[in-house]
Amino acid sequence: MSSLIQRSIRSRASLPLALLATLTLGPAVVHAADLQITVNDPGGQPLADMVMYAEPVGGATAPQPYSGAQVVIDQIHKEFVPRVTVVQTGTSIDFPNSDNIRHEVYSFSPAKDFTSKLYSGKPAAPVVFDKPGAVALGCNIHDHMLAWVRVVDTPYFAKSGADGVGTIAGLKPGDYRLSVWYPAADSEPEVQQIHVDAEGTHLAVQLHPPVSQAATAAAAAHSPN
Amino acid sequence: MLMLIMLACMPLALSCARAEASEPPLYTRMGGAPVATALVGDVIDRASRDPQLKAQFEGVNLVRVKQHFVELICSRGGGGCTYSGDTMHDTHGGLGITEAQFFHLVAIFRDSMRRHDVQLRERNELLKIFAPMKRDIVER
Repeated sequence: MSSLIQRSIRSRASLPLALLATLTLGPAVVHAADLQITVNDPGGQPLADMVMYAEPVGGATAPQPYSGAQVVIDQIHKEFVPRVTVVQTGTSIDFPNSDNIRHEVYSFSPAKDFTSKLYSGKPAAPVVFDKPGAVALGCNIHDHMLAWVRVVDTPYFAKSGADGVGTIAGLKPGDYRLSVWYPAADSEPEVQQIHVDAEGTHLAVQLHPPVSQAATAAAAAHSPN
Repeated sequence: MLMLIMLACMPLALSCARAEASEPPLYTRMGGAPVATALVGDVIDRASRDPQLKAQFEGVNLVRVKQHFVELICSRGGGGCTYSGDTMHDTHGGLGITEAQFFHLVAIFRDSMRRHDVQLRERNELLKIFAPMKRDIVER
């Protein structure tokens, strides 16, 4: 999604403006008060599905109350889709099942401990994620299925696309505590204080893949994609 | 003397019949948890590697399947367990299991029972438990 947004912005920008943006803001033009973050690993490879969220500090406007959006994590070909989801605390997530076999999604994470049986063609009750934190999802029936939900106490969040870029849109100019998180059991968010100005801000963040993910990341770097 | 024993047994006919009914349940006769666990482990391991069946086990948590399978044998065989899994219809629904696949698994099951020295009577009793489940398992 974020890569799509970025591409459309690029195509609309005139060349001199694009050049200027490269000089002042970074590699791409960003919307006013959008916070665009590029996440790379230490080898310069873009990291997809990285979670990023900004919490206002000091005088910045407090986050608006949770809007009540419905979020979906589907089961498709014995995989969770999407693999990484970021939601504001209090968000309800639907777990449909596009497979014609049953699944049984569960989490033992302290932020949300639940089990939900997903039978083909029988909608299950949505699950409310009411505590901030990292939630690892598994399927009791299919071992390899794994997904992450990061529950955050702010409406300002995004995740990176395949190009490593994520955009947190609609921020009021001000100071924020920015957290960037590599979804894994042995990973803590990298936190830094940043300033977002009215023209928007671009940041490059380097994340070291956690030990559990190092092998996966290395394999991805060598894949033709 | 013989007369006496016969007479003695007469009023006890009821308790004699009870003694016969309280013979060990199937689960005990087949060897209990050790045999059931080994048998089920063998069946599922073989089935999940079998060229005709392995696609049905792709990505499936085999530890869980084995636990529930043992539970089912224990509960239906009078071993006092409670089956905590889903119905056969829910667990197999959507997998598109064919009749040929069903009977292939039965063949593996029969062979494994022999390998684990389950006797003829107990083998038949176990098959009798699983045979009616065919209609909830086979889809085409």
